Amino acid sequence: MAKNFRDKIAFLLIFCLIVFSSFKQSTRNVSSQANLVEEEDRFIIYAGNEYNVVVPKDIGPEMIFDAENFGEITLKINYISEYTSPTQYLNSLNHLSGKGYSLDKLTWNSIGSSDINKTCVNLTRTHLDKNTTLDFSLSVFNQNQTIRDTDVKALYNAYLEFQVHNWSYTPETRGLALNLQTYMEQNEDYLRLGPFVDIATKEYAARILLNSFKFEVRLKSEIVMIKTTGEEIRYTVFFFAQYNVAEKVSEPADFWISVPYVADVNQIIFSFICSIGIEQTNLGSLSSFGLFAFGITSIVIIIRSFGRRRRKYN
Amino acid sequence: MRVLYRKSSIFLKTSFLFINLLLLAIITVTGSLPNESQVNKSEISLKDQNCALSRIISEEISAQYFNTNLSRLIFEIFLDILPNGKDAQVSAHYTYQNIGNNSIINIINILDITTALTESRLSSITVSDGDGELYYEWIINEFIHILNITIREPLEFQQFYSYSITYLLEDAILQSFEVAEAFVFHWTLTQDEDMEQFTLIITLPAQYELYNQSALEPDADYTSVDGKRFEWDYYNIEENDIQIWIVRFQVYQTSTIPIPPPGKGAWFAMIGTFFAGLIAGGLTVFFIIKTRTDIERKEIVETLLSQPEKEIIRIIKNENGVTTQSKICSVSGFSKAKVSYYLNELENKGIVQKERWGRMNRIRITDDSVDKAYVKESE
Repeated sequence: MAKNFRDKIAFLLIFCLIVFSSFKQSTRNVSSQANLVEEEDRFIIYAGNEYNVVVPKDIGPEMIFDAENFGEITLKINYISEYTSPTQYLNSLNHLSGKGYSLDKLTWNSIGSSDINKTCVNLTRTHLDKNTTLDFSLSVFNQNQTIRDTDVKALYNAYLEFQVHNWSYTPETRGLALNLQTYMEQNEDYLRLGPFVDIATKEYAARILLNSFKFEVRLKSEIVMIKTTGEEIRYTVFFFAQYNVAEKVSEPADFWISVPYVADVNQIIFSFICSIGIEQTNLGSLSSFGLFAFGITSIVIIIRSFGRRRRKYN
Repeated sequence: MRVLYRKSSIFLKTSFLFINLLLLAIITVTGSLPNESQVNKSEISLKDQNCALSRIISEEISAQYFNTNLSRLIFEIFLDILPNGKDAQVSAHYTYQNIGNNSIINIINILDITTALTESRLSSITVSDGDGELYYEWIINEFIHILNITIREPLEFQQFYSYSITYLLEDAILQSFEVAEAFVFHWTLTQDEDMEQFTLIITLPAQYELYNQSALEPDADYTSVDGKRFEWDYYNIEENDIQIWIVRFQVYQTSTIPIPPPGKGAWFAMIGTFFAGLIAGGLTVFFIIKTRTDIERKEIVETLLSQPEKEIIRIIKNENGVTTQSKICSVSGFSKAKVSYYLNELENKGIVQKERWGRMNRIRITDDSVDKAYVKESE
């Protein structure tokens, strides 16, 4: 009798371990470190077991995230432009004016590097108006990091930074706006969501969804600016899209991030976090929920059967 | 009304450019610039945009001479219509000579973006020479884009210098709503300097073609073989000369794709098909003629033979074309004399042949056509 009871307890413990390990797998599956491969026309970052990122050389900040269970998702920082607006922020494409650069029309210098802490690709464009310089970097870290108040999970997040140095504003313009696009090129069944404000984190996010998988790009509602004196300040940015951001449709997420002009600023830093994973429901994925329900049912049956036996022997 | 609005817009832009050029010339000659403090920045509007330009010039390039002592020798513009049917990528190549005694380090260029569309926008400027990218300042005032370019080394007397400016003309192409997928690129260029030679080369991407034979205005001096590259050449251009180009194009129509000439295999296939046709046609004609001849023969036999003769032939037919005279008598019920008489008649006509076979006469049909005609009838 006692042996039987111990067996049941052992079975229950093993079962719970299986159930909880399945929850764990649905959220994280991390390998040791990222690797960089440089080819003639592109860099490839292998981010553990999570995904690969392909960064083509010389066509600007464009990257393709490739996850095994998801497919290829393209993320482009497409355009930078000044804007005029009756408000502080960009709220119409008609307000784009002054100087602007279509980033894929510029030539870029690219360099890739990998060390014990991180693997990254840097793109730089100099010799723009009045020595304006644009810098873009994509990094995958081997250890969890916090960069400019942003938590970056090792191998799970890709950290993107777009820096604007020495931008010379045209008189009468209100600020600077950055256009981002993300979409799946080889799959028409995906859905976009956002950009939207994540209430929990107060961050801005846009998602590409396919079945139970999601690709997400996030940024803080405040970005970092560095003044000519070296002082670092935070300034609120806002997003603008020309479509209904709450509607899930199979179209690219295409939105602008605008930041107003601030005097004496010579460096503006836009930071983004990208991740690929399971689209979480309240109890995780459906398979996890099924296992959970199966666990509860099993426990009820075992306890009832144990109670009956006790009554029988008594 | 819309056309009128566009025309007036072009006129306004052109006038504005002319006024600004005039203003630049005055500033260059007199060197007198408006006092910056006299200009209230917040009051800049379309009405006083000339003052705004003066302010910008005073702030940005007042120290420069507006290309005084520089002679523009060659000006080439390569304009590529982009596949999106909205934008155009422009690459402008300049060659200057210093004709003054002072060395020159800055060159000023004015980029004209006057298209048929008011929403056209100039962006993505880069400046480079043979050794790489150049430093430049980009000054914008409404429709005028001024570039103040710092060259790599001072340009001395009688030296030449060449460089390129590339930029994107966004929303420069009008999509015609009257004809589906037809596009119009309408570009007005006001020359900002005198020059010896000016060339414009416009290229269409692969998926487009000219709308019709008169789709170019003015006619190009040179058109490439594939009909996608057009070149206009001008000589001894004067400042403020205005030129207009119109290119109407459409999405490549599959019906107009030239059919490639047949290969060697195709020729063999064609010849084989021809001979197969000849054989099939010959067989058909032979069959038709033969059928028609048989019918005609049958009709002749029908008319030439008497009823007893027909009956005798039918009996022979039933015996597979060969029988004896006595059997014909027994089957037909005719007398021996009657059968003998009609068999002689048939033999004289060449239809049957009578021959001795022991003590009997054997009768055989000899005319094949008659034979077939009656087989069908008997069936």
